[in-house]
Amino acid sequence: MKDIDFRTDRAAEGEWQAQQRGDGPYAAVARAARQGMEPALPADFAERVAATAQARARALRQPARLETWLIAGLLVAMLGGGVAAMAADPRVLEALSPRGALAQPWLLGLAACAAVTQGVAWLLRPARWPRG
Amino acid sequence: MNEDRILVDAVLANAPGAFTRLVRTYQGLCWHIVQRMVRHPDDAAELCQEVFLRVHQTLHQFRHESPLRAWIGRVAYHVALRHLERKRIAIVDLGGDEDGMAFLENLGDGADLEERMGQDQVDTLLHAAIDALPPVQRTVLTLYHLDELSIAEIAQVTGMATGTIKSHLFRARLRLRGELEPRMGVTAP
Repeated sequence: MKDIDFRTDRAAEGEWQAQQRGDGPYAAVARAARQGMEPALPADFAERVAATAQARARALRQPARLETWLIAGLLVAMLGGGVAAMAADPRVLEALSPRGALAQPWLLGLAACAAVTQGVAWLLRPARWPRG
Repeated sequence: MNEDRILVDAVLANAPGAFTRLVRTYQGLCWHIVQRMVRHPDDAAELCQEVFLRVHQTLHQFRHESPLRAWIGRVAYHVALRHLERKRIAIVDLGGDEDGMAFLENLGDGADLEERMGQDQVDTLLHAAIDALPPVQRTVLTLYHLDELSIAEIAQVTGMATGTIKSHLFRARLRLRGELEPRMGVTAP
């Protein structure tokens, strides 16, 4: 259905003005359109929705906190393991020096994989709700 | 606008009762939009809950570039729209409007309508006619008259151009007048 061009359609423009003034039957139209709708939302709707929203927000926060703790634990374990390995065998320390790293292409491969994963995650991040 | 900012900041700071206050302030607007769009009270109540859960989840993205009521109205409109799309319900009248516009040439003045029918009967007739309008026209009419949103605000809520909103409002009111015309002794198309 096309938009009406009120600048060129004089009959439509005249009728629009009558609508806006509430002339004749348009007074009844405006009155009927202003009347409230039955039924309405339950009286405790706001309290119930707020309780649900807060419960959901808590539930969403909890797995994130657990995940953070797990990742932190894993990092501590890896760092501890690395330090222990370096203390036990000096060849490990040599392998991690810049010259040693170039001699180990799998380290470069690992770094490339991490970069690609982060890049793809950034590109596929969820779209945001329209801004206000 | 300043009240919006205070309320939004309170909700984002998890102030006790702030989100309840926000819901209470805008639940009427949300109900009008969703109920006018879907016309099914049980579905509408569920969709209103979905609207406010989404508002709670995404309020941090609100940038105060429009009034909060327009932003919440937009969320409500899109939730209702998606519901209608899932149910494959047309939201606008896809038919031509030549008949409706031709009707412009045969209008009576309608002055004695309520003397003939009585106000209650006229209101009953008009409520039935409003229910029979396409969802978008019904919603635009309600937002304009009941919630007193301007055409520009309705455009923000629906994402349509102001000219399109004006045309929908015009056609909706003309069609309602058309429902009354046969009772006024003037032949409607």
